[in-house]
Amino acid sequence: MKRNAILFALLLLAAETAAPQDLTGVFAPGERYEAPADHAPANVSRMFVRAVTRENSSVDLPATGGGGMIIWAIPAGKARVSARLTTPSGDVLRPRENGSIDRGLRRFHFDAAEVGIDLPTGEQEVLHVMKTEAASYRIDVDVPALVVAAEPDSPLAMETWVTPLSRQPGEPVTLFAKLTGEIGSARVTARLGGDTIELAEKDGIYSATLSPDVIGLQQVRFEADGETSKGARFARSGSSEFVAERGAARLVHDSIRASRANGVLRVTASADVVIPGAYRFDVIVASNGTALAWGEGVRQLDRGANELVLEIPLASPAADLRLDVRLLGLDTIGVAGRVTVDVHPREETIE
Amino acid sequence: MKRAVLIILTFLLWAVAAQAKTGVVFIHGKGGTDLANPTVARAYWGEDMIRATTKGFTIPYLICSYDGTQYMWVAGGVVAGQIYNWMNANAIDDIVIETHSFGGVVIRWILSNPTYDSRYQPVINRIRWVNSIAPPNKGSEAANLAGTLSGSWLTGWMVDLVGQSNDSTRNCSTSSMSYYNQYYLKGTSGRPALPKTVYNIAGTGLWNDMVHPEDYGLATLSGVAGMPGEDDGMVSQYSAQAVGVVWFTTLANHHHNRRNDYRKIGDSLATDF
Repeated sequence: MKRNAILFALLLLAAETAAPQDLTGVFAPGERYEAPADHAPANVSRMFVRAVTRENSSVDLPATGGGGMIIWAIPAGKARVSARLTTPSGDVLRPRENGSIDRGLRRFHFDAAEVGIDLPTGEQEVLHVMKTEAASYRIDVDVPALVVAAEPDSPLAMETWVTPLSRQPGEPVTLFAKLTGEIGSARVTARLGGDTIELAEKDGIYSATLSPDVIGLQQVRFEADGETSKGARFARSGSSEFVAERGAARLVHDSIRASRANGVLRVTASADVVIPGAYRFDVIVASNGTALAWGEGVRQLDRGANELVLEIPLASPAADLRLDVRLLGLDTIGVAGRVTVDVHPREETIE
Repeated sequence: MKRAVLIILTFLLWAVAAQAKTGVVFIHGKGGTDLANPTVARAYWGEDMIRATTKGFTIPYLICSYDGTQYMWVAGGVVAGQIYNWMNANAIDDIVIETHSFGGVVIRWILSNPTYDSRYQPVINRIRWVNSIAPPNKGSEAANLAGTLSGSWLTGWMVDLVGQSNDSTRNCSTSSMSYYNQYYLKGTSGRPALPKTVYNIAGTGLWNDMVHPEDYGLATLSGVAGMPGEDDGMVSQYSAQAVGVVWFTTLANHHHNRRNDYRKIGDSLATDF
């Protein structure tokens, strides 16, 4: 099949012309139209994080029991971590012991350099408890470190998400957390910037709505602490993100018009621009849930009112069209505006 | 008459094919700023991967080198510039792109935004197709973890501890990729198609040779970050396969699937030539 693609590529090469200002295309027959999701897929966490300092070198790690636990000690600097683990039954894995499968406790090391996320240079230490008891383990670490404890097999998980994923200035932001598993009681907090927010529970979903004064990609950290229905303590740490748009421009909702002639759909819109620069005017055309065609064009927009026009070849005779219209920043990446309108080409009016 | 035109057109296409000069471009994933150094970028792949893919260095090749901490649009500009200069200097008009990890997102940025940079479209025109190894097309839960651990939310010194969830890592979180997939990138379901075919290769193994400490590190990441389904320690299979055509999967983990060692991925890439 790959060999056949070369012919297709050569066909395109033969047909190569100067790049047009605007780009248009069609979707594969029957492809479903998908509106942008209100939030990113929920992050699912079965881990929690604790800090070990020089003043407090010992931390408790509550385990829900039944499955394994991975305990990862990330040193604060280049110093090698040496952790001592004490189990609820009193077994101790001393710093120089590697443990064994028979003991159900093992110690591994790896270098941060090849893992691929941003870690301090140096050796990382991982302890593996092969099957935990539903009780607290204690870890003592000789240098400042982050301790990450995960129960990858545990049914107790925290899902976190934030709406909306693309937040325009002034829009409220809602933080969500959902705890799955046999929860007895729990408290969930979140941190956004320097603020700590208490999430309120309703029907098993913890949430809080706020109007933060922020711009750009924002990360929200979630912390849950509580007890299972069997009385075992648990903790979970998680995160989620949203983009606080900077309000560089705005699509005027009721300005969008569409007309059709000779197989071409002409879409017009107005934009109020605060920050002049390069933007992209994008339109996706759909009908009855099926994506039909798309068009996009770069526009240099001035401060104030701007008129946008895009022409998209449209072979479909569908009478009712949905237009998903976007204005995207190019100088600074971000969604300046998005409007969805239903149009009826006969009347050329907006529903 | 129509048949005669078709035959002539076919003949011309084959004639063009016979004259096409093929080259291969390697685009690495995220990492440190030192990946802007060509020597470091070459070492990222390993000599045997480059040798195998280029059939003993007989296929003209370019190893892109860009700062591995930057957003895809920053990296895309550097990569496109390098490809543009190389293809023109060497009259390469048939390019197969090989990417690893975030490199697959960088080339998607270029393919998705041909008008963003004047060099993008000429580069796109000459691409035959893209082979994308372990691309985080829907993000990486490991990048989410990096974000969770970063910052000053625990104590002040944690800023220095976990350092910086840098721009390329932020780019690769599942939330960020959800955002970019919806507005700026093409090729996922419901979005316009990419102008060139992407063949994806997902990694589905963690424990490879167990001699390298990376295996322990990637297995730890996989367990701690909570990657759903199969993964290679950094990128989940669902994410790698979210764009393009599945070519094959490999048991090589994220450390090994950019090299030609644990599994002979370079040998597979070489079958394109």
